[in-house]
Amino acid sequence: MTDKIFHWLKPLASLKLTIFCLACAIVLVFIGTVDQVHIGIFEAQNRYFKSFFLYFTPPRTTLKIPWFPGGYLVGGLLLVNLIVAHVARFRFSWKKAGIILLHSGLILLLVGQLITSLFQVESQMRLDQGETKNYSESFYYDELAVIDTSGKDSDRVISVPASQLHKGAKIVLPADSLQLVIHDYYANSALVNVSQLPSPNYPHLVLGPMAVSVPLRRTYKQDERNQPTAAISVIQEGHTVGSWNVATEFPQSFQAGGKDYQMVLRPKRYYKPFAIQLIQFRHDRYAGTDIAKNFSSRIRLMDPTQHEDRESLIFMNNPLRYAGMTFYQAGFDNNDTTTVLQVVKNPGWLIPYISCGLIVVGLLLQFGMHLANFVRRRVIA
Amino acid sequence: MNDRSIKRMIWLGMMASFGLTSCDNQKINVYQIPKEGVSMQTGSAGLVLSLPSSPAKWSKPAGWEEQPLSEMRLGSFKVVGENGSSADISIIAFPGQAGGLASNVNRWRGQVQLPPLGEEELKQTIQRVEVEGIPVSLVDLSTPDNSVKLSRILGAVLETPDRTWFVKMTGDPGLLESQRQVFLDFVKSFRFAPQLTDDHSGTPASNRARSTNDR
Repeated sequence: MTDKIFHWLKPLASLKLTIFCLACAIVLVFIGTVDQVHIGIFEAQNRYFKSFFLYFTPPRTTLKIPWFPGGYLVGGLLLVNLIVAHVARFRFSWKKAGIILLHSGLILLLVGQLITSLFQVESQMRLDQGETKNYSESFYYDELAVIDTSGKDSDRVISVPASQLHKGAKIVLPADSLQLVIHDYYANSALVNVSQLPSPNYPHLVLGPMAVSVPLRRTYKQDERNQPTAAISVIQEGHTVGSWNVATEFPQSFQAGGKDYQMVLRPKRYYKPFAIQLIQFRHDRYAGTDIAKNFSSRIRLMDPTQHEDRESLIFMNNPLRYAGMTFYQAGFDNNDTTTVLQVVKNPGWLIPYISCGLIVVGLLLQFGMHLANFVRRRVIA
Repeated sequence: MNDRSIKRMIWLGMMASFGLTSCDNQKINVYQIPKEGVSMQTGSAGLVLSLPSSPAKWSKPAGWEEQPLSEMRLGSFKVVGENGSSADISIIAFPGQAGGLASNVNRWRGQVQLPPLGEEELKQTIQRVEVEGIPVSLVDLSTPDNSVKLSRILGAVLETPDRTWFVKMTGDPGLLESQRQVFLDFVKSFRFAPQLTDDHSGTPASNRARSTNDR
């Protein structure tokens, strides 16, 4: 049985596969970097590195033909290749301790990257001076939030990811027997005055007496955000409660089954069990110049569940780490009165440090042993 | 166990381990949050809007049928006349001045094929009253007599400190004539919740946040 497994695993341990995977990785990194100029870093990561295959879509079709292995496949194969090679080929000896340690470091690095790519959540917290928030917002994902505001002390949020919104979609909400029917959806749109429409028949969704939303091409630029608009009917137990057009700046209120609701399309929110208040943002410059010297945010962290209420200073290379999240100084706005903190939750953040440590120790051990042998031979000679 | 099943087992195991995705961004989530003034400020840029669910109350006149809410409507009704003619009544609200009284009345004029008027001329067509200390502008607009399809609008614009309310009745001119007093009583039945202390009236979007990496 074990022999049979090894028989099947043997091709996976081949050095040719390692070379093939490394060559593919080089090609992937090259095309991904070139294409990043057109589609931005986030989309390039998804298309080239967080995928099993790169796909080609022939013009005027919706076919997806895989034509090259993507990052998950290359990285996964490389990982399997490394592990299998060790299991099948290497036998432990002190002479090889350095190499084994080095390769364990590499395996851990690959596993760490997989964990990061699967579980890391990045978002932003934008705070005006004095403002307190208990949530951060995604820079890439949007949500349709249906908020039941009838509760006395709390609101219940039903968050539908924007990826589920498309023309004709029927979405059953897991509460209050509510159902949404999406009549139309623009993944990106612009708000214009009614009089700016090129013609009355130009596709648009009415948001108010003056404002209409017109569809735009999806943007992949790093400094731009898609602004979705959707035409939605709310249905409760077979009866239409109403139909509305919602956009980022245009929330809607409605009543259904005796409850008050708000419905809004907005950047996806990540609520936290604690709150952060911006006390002061500082943008220090070198004397007599406009050259930035330092950006820092003095914040107050309040977490009643952990009896935590303290101040902290976030500045370059000195993020705040709390509750498995890291808050970095990322940007500023409003004449230096608003700070933008990058919030990163990465359960695998320690892994690269450990794997780099293992690689360093492995290299030192390997070359140290070579050096020791060399010196010993010279002494004997 | 034959070769094929071992092979299948290995590949399935591999695919399953790679197929693990958190997928948190693809699922519908339900969660409770402490109550807050729903501030719609976005991470990128945008207006700040806050419309509590029902900051005004009104009494529905007898004979008016409630309709499903649509577009920006906070209230929607229908009334049917004796000869089968009907009229539609809508209530909408916008933060601030919503583009001003003149442009909104001219928009309504356009809907009944009337030419737009200057502010001074408009003033003469607008009747001003007060409801609960709130200034209300009333208009009565009809399509020109030579129109193919006759229509009429009875409109009221209520300007509360934080937003502007539009109450509009559209439909058959004859029916609207008989409903005129009902409509006026309806407008007078409006009662407003106390004004919000926060200034959430559409402030202009600020420029995009700058990165600390920018020069």
